[in-house]
Amino acid sequence: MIRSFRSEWLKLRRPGVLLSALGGTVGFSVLGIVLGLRRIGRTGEFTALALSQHGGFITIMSRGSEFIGIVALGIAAFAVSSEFTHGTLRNLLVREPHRLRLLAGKSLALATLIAGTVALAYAVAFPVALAVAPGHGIDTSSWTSGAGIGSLLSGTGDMIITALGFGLLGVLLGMVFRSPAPAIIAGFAYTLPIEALLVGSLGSSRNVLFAQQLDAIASGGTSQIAYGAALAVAAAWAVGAVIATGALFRWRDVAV
Amino acid sequence: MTSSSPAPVESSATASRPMPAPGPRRPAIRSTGLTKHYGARAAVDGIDLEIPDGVIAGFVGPNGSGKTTTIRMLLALVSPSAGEAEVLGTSIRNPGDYLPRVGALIEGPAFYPTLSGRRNLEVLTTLGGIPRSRVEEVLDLVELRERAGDHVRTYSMGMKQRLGIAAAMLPNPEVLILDEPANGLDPAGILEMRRLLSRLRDQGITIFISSHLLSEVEQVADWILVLKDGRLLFQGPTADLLSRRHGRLLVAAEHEAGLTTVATIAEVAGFKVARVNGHLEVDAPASFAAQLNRQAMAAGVTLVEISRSHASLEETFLDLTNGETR
Repeated sequence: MIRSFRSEWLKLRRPGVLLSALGGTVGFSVLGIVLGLRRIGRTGEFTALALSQHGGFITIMSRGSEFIGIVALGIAAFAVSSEFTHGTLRNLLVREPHRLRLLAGKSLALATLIAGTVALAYAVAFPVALAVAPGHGIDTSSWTSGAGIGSLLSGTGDMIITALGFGLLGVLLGMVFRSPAPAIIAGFAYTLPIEALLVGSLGSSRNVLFAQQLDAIASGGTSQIAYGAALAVAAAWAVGAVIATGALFRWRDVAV
Repeated sequence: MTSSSPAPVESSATASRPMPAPGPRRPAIRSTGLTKHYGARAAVDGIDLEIPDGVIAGFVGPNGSGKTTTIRMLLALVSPSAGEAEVLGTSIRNPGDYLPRVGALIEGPAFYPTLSGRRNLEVLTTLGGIPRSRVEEVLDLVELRERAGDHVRTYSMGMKQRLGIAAAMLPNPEVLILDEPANGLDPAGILEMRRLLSRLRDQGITIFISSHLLSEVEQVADWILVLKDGRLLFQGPTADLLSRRHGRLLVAAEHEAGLTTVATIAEVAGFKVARVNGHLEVDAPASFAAQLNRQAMAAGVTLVEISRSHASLEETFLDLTNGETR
């Protein structure tokens, strides 16, 4: 598995991949801050007063969690499915016939890339937010307090979990569709309109849908989905996705 | 199905090549009843392969005959529906035990276009636990070191093909499986490929080549397997296959008008005749030449040339697969 991990990183180090991952994640984060601050209201949890609390930065960032998740999903789906379309998977499997080891190493490498880009995005977005937020009436002094830094770290961790969840979905879809375009389109369609329609027509589905749980985790829990419940349901989804992906990869013929 | 003993046979086609030493040898590749079904269709239908160690084995058959599916099963990319196969004495159900000793180029070269040739090879050495030093060795082997730092997307088809062979050579394999290795190569590249394969065979590597370039296979292969509709029609020394079909007699007469008489003589004797560029081509063995000459003389026709043309692999292949030779 370690060999597979190191081998995958030789590919992920490509400037195109790194720039796409970093550019997408950092870009969406900064954009989320700029657009989010323009939508500050007078009531609710998204007021200047509420955002002046030590967790204000994380509250702003969690509004863009779906976008960061979609970047993660796209990276993972592309990395997996393009091995099929390029025909490179057969070369890899001749050199590493233990398919689950290959998949585990590749997934671990993707996970480190996703986690790293999210952490870097937060590292870039935080000073940007510190610079921009006072212009919108937000007092950021508590953001840099001990509690604020604690909130920043736990919020970053939550966003990493969310992005990894989306990345896992991308790996599964890449394995199912074996082609980047349909895998990424299916991922976008599921996480954005399909889940929204399901929640709109059946409100209780919010408690079981995967992307809803991931969004709740990014926010540290919401008024409708508790953090612990979101973690548990998302973990159940993740286990199912890992089993399905592993079974598909282990047993399906490689005829491309 | 026709099959021959795997014992090496010296032949006119292979006389200049060193054949494996006589005596019992472990087959490099063997299968029993190897089958792959896709739905109701049998892509590979119960084939019994036996490829001796240390030969170049050509794997030929029409498009869709099951060659690539067979190769994929041998490389554990596709699981058989039935039957068993062994590579280097190990069941294909345990690919981790034999694939480290196998190199493969499957259905053309496949690489990451935005990585350099060298980095593409490093991906495979890292994954396979192969020393990084092998990268430069195989780049030298295929004479690609100068361009190894360039992105693969800038390579010509021939360069990609050479890189594919370099990738297959990375593990210093005992068995090399190449699917259409001459695709995209120019004549000089094909010649170099032929020399390379011969060198590798002389080093004791068993080479299993699938190719639609029958003339190429004929020139390099000691052993041949013919597949059609998923079934093995022939396997054995190339010379054995070629000897199954007698050659042709090329006949020229002093006066072209005499060829009609000669054609009648040959047809009465039961042989097919074709008139080509002022010659007759008679599908007859060399032993018929003397009789033809005598009868032509008796009929008042003077023959100025009777020569023998050997059957090519292409002709033999087409006969075997029920095609038309002309």
